[in-house]
Amino acid sequence: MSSHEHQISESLKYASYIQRAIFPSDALLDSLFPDHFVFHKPRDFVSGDFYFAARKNNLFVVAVGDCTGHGVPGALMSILGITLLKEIIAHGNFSTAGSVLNRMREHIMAALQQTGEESEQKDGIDLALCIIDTKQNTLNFAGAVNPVYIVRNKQLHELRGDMMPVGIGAEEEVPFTSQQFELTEGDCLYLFSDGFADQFGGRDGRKFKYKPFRDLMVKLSALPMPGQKMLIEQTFDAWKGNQQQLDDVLVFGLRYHTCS
Amino acid sequence: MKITAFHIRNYRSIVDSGKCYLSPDYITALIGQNESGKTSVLEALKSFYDGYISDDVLRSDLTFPEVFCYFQLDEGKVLGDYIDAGDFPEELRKKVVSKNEIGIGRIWSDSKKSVVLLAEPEIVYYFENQEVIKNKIAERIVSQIPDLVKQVETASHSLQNLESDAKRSRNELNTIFAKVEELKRNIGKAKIPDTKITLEQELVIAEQQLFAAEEHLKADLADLENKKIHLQQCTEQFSICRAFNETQTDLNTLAGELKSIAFQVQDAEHQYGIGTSDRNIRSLLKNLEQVREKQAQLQNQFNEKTVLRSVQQRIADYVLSGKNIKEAEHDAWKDYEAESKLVTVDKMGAVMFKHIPMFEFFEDFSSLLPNKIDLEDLMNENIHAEGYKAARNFLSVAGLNADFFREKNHRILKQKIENLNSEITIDFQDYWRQSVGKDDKIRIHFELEHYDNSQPEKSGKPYLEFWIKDKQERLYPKQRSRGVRWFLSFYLELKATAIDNPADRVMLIDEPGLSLHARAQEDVLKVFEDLSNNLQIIYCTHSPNLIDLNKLYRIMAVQRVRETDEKSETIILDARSLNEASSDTLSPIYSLMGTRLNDRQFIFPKNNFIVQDAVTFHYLDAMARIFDLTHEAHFIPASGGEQIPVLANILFGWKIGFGIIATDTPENKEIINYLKSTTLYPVMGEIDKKIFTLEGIAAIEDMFSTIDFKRHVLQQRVGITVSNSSYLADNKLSRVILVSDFCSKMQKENLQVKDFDEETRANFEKLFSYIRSFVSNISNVTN
Repeated sequence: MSSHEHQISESLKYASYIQRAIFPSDALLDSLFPDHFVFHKPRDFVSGDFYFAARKNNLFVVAVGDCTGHGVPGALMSILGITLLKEIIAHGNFSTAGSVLNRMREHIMAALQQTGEESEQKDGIDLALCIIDTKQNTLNFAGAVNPVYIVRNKQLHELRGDMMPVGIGAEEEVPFTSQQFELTEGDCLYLFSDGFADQFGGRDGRKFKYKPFRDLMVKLSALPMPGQKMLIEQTFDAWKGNQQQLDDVLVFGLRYHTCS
Repeated sequence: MKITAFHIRNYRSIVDSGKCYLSPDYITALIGQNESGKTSVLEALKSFYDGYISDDVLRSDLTFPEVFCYFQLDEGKVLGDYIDAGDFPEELRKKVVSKNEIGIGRIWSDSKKSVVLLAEPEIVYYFENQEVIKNKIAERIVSQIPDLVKQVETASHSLQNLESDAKRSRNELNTIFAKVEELKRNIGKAKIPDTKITLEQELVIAEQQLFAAEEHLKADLADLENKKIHLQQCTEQFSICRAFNETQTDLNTLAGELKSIAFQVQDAEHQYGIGTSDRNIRSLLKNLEQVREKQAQLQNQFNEKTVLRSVQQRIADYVLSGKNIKEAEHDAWKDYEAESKLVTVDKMGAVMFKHIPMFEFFEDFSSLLPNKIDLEDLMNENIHAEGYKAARNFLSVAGLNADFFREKNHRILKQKIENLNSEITIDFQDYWRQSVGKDDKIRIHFELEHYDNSQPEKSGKPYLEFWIKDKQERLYPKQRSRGVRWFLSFYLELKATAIDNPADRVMLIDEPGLSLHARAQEDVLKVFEDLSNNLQIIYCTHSPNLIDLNKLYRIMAVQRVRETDEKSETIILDARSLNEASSDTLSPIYSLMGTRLNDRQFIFPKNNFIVQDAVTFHYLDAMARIFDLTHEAHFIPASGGEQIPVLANILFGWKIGFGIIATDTPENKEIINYLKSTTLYPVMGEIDKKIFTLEGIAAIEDMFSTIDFKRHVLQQRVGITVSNSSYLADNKLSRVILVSDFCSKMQKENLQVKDFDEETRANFEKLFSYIRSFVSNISNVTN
């Protein structure tokens, strides 16, 4: 390896440490969601996929984002995304998941100076965000392109996101839709990026796709969380085989437990 | 071509207006206090067109005015369609021929003289750069003169030395030659062999010396020749540089003389103008002609010298670069010819100026429609006849000329006139909505009559008689109000000018409709709207009725830097920077909002709500319509939070039921505490229920969600990370213009509740449910 390549590789490694430091720590995740798993497989050193978790009073916030691009550009966007989410959750007055995404979009547009000009870069984040109210046992969800899956008694419920990114889109901004869902003990929630479903592999070298992905989630839900992670990892590796990983892959799963 | 912007410098109180953009729909209103400089703007534009400035235009520092106007070329046309691409300097050609917008400037060099030039930045930069290069060359040439003098002196000194050397060498050669000849002769004469041998040896040596001396002389002569050439070069360089310098000095002298003679001409013109007796006038005229002739001579000399300097500069430049004088002269003239064929900024300006719209200034419509006018006066264009201009305009609008009145058959002529009368009346009534009688509107008629014997000198001569009539009565124009006559004359003037000059025109109108009723002033606006397809209108006004609240982009604010100081300079703020204008300057807009309120009879016995300001009023009024609350609440704008107690006092005094809707600011909190603590208000009872504070809302714009604020108010896609009101303040955006745009959008797109998102709806629903509960509570009527 040339000295130049070595330098780049070292820089990227260092960047990946920084990115990891910005992600919620295992200890924080364990304290917020004792029963959870994170399957995160970046394509490069650093990742355009990110996850986020926080708590404000009785509200628990969890989000999984997928930024435009992967590698360094994606990672920079992911840092912006996590920072904005932290800021909005900590200091903003949010009532619904949609209002968090609305506010986040304003910040991204302002930060990237997006005004809808045709020539400008349409960078943004696909994101699924859940606010779990443990007192009310409710889930408030808003999605930018990405959905959330809730599996209860081997039945999968999908809350779909709006078809617009967090960032400037082709159409004029409209508010993100907030959806409310009653949670019960043992419900499994899955937030994810498109990396798994879009991975080429298998015997015919085709995409994994969402139907098998949903089936996989249903299958997983019966297992304890560590087992779920193991199975998902095995499934992904087996599917990918010798194919190249095309995108970052992230699946965040948690099992809901009522306070009582 | 359409004028799109202007830039005025050194014109009365305007030092530098900056580039001011006119309204894109061709109607621009200049608003501002008295003495702010509005009329100066119109006059500056007129001066741009006709080149005339009066002495009072000049500023005390005697800087001469410069007025630039920017034009959009006719659709599909580019600069290259007006000026041949080959006439542009090559460096400019590609950059400018495809331009479809140009700037033309008029720059005065004295009170009578101005030059029109193309003021496109690239072109101006190119020519300025050329000028800089030329000046540098001129400086270099002049700076070389002392060196060249030294060089000439040194060269001629060296030449003298060399000549002496050569002379010496020649003498030496001659001496040696003589010696050789003598030796040869002596050898011939020598009889003694030894002597002969000795002489022959001496001859060999002498011949060698002769050869050496010849070589020496040759070298000296060659040196001499080189030195001569060098001296000649130095002398040539010196001569041309000195000639250039002398021409330049002459030009400076001539420029001074021209300036002085210009004053003499001015003075002579003035003297001639005030001449008393015929003899005196003749003598003054003679004097005037003499100074004018001298001025012309000087100008010719100046022009010739200018050409000479230009060529000499080139020659000197070439000669200093090593070219010989003949070659340099040849190339310099060739360059000059090529350059003189190219267009310059003033040539381009002159070409393009021919295509600009005609600027017309209407200051005073002194020519009001007369009761009658002799046909003879009209046909002979007797401009001194009373009401001539208005009557002539009337005929232009009616499409009449002299032939029309030559109709012999009196009945046919009468019928023709009757037909025309109805056409003109209908057209005019499209604009004139004001009722003169109870429910009638005015009509204008004209008739052809002939003088009877009561005026023997005019007996039998035709005249036109005008009538302004409504259902009740038929009156002569002079029996009508000045307002009616003004409007009529104004209407005729505009219409007639449009007919007489169908090309693009720019109308500069100073305070139209001063004597008109508010409704009639609005009619003036209607006329502007109608005519703006064919002409551009720029007018000054103090009247709110001449401003369309939904078209604030038409406004240009004119004010002094220090508003109370009439000597401070004038600044002009176009629609994009209207927010920087003072509230006094914008008073017609605020008045207009007030006028609209008056229209609506806005104070009712109950259900009145005092709100922060006019902007808040307009948003709430609009949103109340959208939320179908119009008949339940009546908003009354205060002019700022501090005025809320005053209004509250008045309404309380009038026993009018009211509530207060206050934004959530520290100032308003203080005001509300003051209201609560005054002894007056406990009488009203339940004071808390009468005051509704919009929690967390610093200004009414914060009632909108960020998304709705962007969609419906800003009408722009941009990331907003602060409150809407902070965003407006941070970006210095005009709240007045934005509320105007919002109201306009609401009407145009028929906005409904569903067009707003949940957050906006929730905010307004909260307020409106308070209003509904207030309204349903009968106690809001003050006892």
